[in-house]
Amino acid sequence: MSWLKRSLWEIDRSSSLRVLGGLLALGQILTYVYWQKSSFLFAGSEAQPLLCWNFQSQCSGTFLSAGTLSTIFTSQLILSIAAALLFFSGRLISWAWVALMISWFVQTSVYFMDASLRSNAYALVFLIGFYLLFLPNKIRMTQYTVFAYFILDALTKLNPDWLSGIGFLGQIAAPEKGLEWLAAFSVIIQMVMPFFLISRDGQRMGYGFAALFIYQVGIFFILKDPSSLSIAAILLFFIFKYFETKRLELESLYQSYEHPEPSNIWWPVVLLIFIAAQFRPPEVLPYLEVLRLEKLQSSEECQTLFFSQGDAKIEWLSTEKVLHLPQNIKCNPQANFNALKQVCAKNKNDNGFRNLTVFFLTRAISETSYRLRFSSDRFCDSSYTGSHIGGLSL
Amino acid sequence: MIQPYNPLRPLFYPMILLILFGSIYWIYQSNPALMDQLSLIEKQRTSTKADTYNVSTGNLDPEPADRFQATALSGSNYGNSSSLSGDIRIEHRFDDLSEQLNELSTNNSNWIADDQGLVLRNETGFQVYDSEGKLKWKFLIEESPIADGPIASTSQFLYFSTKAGDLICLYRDSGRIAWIQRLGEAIATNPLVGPKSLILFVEGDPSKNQLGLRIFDKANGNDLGKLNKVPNPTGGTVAFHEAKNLLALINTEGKIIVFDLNKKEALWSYDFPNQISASPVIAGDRLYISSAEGQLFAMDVSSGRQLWDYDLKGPIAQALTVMPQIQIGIIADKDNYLHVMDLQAGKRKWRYNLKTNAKNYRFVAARMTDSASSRLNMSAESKGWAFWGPCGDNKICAFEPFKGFILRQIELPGPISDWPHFLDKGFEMVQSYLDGKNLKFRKFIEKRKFDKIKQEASQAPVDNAPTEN
Repeated sequence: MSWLKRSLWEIDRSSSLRVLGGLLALGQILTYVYWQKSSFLFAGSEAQPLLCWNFQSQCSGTFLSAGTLSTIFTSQLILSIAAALLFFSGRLISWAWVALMISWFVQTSVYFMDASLRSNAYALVFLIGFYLLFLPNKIRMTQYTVFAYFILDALTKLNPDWLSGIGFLGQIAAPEKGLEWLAAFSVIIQMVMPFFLISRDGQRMGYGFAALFIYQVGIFFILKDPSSLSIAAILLFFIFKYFETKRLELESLYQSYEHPEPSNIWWPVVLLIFIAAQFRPPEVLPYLEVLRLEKLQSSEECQTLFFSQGDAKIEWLSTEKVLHLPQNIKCNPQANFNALKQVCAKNKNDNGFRNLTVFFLTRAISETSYRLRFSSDRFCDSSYTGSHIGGLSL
Repeated sequence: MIQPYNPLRPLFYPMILLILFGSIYWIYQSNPALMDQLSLIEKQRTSTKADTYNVSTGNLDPEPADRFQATALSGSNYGNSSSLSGDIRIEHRFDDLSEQLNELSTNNSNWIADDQGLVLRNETGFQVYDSEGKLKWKFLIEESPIADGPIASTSQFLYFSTKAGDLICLYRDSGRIAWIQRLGEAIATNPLVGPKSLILFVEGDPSKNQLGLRIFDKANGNDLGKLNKVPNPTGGTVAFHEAKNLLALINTEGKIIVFDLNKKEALWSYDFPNQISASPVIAGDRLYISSAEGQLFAMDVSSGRQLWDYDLKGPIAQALTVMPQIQIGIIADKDNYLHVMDLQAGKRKWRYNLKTNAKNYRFVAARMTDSASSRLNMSAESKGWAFWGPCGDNKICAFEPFKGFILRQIELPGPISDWPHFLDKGFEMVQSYLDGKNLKFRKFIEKRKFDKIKQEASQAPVDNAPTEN
């Protein structure tokens, strides 16, 4: 248990890490609020996941009842609040650590069970939570991971989908050409400002922090994406880290003893794993998929055409009335496949319902026509598994 | 406090500049349209391409193109082969249609009837009945209203379009979807069906009274071509020459324009001095046009050269019905005269007073069996071909085209609102009427063999027959 003691000691002696713990706990509270609206798990054992991770051959709902799940999630929320209060107060750090760890495990379990919750910001929060709880040299590791996150996230935006500005379309009253430049400007900020953020120079770090903080808050107001607030919260850590470093430098003038330094082996290893997760082929180390950053999904357009076949009746149904997919997976073929299968399951006992005819089409902004991802006029048949698109048997 | 010297410090700003310009370069590589006037979103919007989406064929029986039945385009009424029969009797009534279709008028653009049954439509769906008057299936649509005009049909498929821009092909027997074409542009009318292709008018520039025209493969919905800036055709009807891929239409100013669909351009146009009153008709290599003043024109469809014109001396509001096998054309004028034309010579063979207004009625040609043809003393040159049309307010007659006989005269219980559809051993026709608020349909079927009633054929009471101009 010496690693645990060292870990707790490292948090206890560093004010910036205590603040980071509190910020992560706040991030978990935000995540709880957001997931409560979007995760199938909050609906109890009857619900099915909309999307499974690609390393899972089959995903299924939970065996726990809605009541049990509600108790677990409420406990997790209480623990997150307690962890935030204890970390910010600087007292009972061990208890704060335990509360944060349990909360982190619960949220990580939910994240692994439902790939529809996938977001780049949560991948960062998940990773930093892991560092803070279990690995040594937490400050440096957090610093470089945030740096790598911004650069890698900027690289995912170097594609026509993001640079067309379609992500901002309808959110800002600006001409489409202006949205294009706004998207390009966002990539430049993410490419350049992280270098300022990790600078030892206070002024530069201040510029980096201010630019990225304003950028994340701006993204929240424009895209209404709560995960950008989690990242903005993590950025506050850099301010506290800067003042702590200054304090330690001043203290070092009149304190002759040397601080025991945490191991420097882990942070490059973990950073390399994070970077490797972005560029690995899909079949190599499939579990690293949870750390892979994705490009903006809402830039993809999709159409779902589906027709209900009844006794002597064919009805072209409105997609908006039947399918309610979260924005981030609205055009995901697998999620649409699973959601439509759930429509089949829901209607199978209705008198007169026979089957569904389905067409699912997608296109990127750079494509002039839609691509047919799957179609069938016997969609509800159990033999139609949609294996070619990764559809899962639910 | 003295900070240790950092040898990389002077490199910080040059490095930032390098990253800045590098990222701008990468951004430009990823979106070359960034410096253009037009944004990528606008570019996509203006270059959106239509595509057909077929249902995965694993569960369907693929329909080869050669199994499609040839159906003439609206306005070019070719005959089909069948034997004629005797007295008419009511066999079935298409009554008790659902309330959703109550608002339909008796305007026959909202319904089609053929030997397969009946298809009724409104904006939000349509209902398909079999030949016994039994509802086979209905189609309801929430996404977008169905485009104007009747649902296009063949014996195996139904074709329709939505105003939002979808062209859809359904199996007629079950309503299952064969394919969908998503055009991404607003559609003006339901498609017109040619022997191998579908023609569709899409919204164009309303200020210039222009439409776009799209052509699709009837078998699989594949895009065969398009024409932009096509004049809005009078009455929405066109004539199509499938072999030469030519399309003829008349614009609202009365100009006939023939388009070469291979070259996607107008081949020739002609500004008629007379007011054109009906759709053009293409038969063989000829284009036939009728004017409101009563003139009938024949032109070479490829060159626009006028071959002949003939003054019928009566205003016309009807397209010519052509029997290409015997080079005979049939047309009725507003003075209720039926004119039978020798299309080769450009002369009228005879005319007959129908004693009823036949301007909205389509004459239908059908072929007698050889035995019936000889028993009825039909001329050899008619090759057994006869045509059917109204010959009184509640009567339809079968005419012998060369000698001017009335071969058969049938009294109906109500006014004529449809034309006969020929079955193997008889014919049927559907009549629509309003019963209070509800639209009702009545179908007549005749199944008796013609051989048994040969004595009923009589010398026709032909007025001024044959009459030379």
